[in-house]
Amino acid sequence: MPLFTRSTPPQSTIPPDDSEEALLARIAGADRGALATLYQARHRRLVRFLSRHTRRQHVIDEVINDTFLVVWQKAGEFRGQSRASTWIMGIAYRCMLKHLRDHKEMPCADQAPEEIVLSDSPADLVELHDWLDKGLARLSPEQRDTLELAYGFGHSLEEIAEITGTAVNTVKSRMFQARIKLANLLPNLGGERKTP
Amino acid sequence: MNRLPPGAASHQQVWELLAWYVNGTATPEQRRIVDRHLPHCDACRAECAAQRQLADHLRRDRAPVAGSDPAAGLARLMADLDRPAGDTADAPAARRRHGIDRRWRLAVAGLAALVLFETGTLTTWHARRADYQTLSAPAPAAPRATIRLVPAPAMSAGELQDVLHRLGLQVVAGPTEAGVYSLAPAGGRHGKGSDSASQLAALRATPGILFAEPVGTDP
Repeated sequence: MPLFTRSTPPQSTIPPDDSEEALLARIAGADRGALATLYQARHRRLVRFLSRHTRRQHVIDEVINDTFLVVWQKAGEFRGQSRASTWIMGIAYRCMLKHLRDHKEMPCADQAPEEIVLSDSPADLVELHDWLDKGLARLSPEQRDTLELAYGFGHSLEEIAEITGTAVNTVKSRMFQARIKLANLLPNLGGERKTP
Repeated sequence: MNRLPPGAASHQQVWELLAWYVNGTATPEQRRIVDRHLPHCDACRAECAAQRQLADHLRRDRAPVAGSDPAAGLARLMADLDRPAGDTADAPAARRRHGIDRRWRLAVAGLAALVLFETGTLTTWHARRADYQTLSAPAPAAPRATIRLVPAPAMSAGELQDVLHRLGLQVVAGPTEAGVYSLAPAGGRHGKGSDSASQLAALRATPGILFAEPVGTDP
């Protein structure tokens, strides 16, 4: 079985045995092996998503653990209205927010402070990712999540609304604001634009 | 909005669609709208290039978070599944804040201790301890444990040994599967620093000690 399985769209009525939808169905039947398979398949992506909010390993581990405890308890409630990946990411997102709220943590407090001045463009390709990370760190957590879910994970507008528990128009607005802010912070993003 | 040049009514619509065009989730109709617009709009082509660069950046793997080990995490998850039903509420993080947190820390420390075992650090230490006991005091009666302790995963065996030596303590059992060491006064000493209360206070004040409790207290 591949480590990472691409979930099938909800219109697929009979999911393949190794799809995340099929795994959820088995988890609903208290199949721990299926839970372990799903955990292993999802772990890396969840770490990547959560590490945008904190680089503290124990926080990331705790949120992932909480996420899969909820998946274990609620798998029977998954009805396939959305992709399994969207459903799981929504649980992870809520667990993360809850953790941040319970522990009164400021999201990404360990990231770039506002007063750092960004250069117009990276000096070279080696610095490109650092330059982009610094720009992303200036966004609000909601704006950054929207970009991460759209570009990092390939979720649609509607899926991001479901994951974050917000209206589609709220997601549109966050995406809009994120892009505008980045365009102003990183005027040479894409390498073709003129400075405004 | 200072980056949006004035233009046809469709320009802003296309500009907003670009994110979903770039990430491949736009509908076929939305793609057609964008495809028709791009050849005639420098600003949207530049924006499209910018969003593609951003998407490439966000899709790449970030540097892994140190120590985030899926095998250890999975072991902990499986252990959590076995808790009584009342223990697995919908809000595990909140639940843990009110008392389970210590158990979580025990489990993590235990797993870290097992990893240390595998890498040989603690194995060497325990081998030395075993040798010492065998050579100097064959089959001694194990002193009664007075303290239970869990070191942080980052604490080396040497550091732990130094702390225990300074406080006149020795390991008499452990680590358990949960990473708990049982400690007792070294060599039956009862002199300075060997009373449990001051040893506990000193241990709790030591960076790298996650947990120290007198024996008899439920962790």
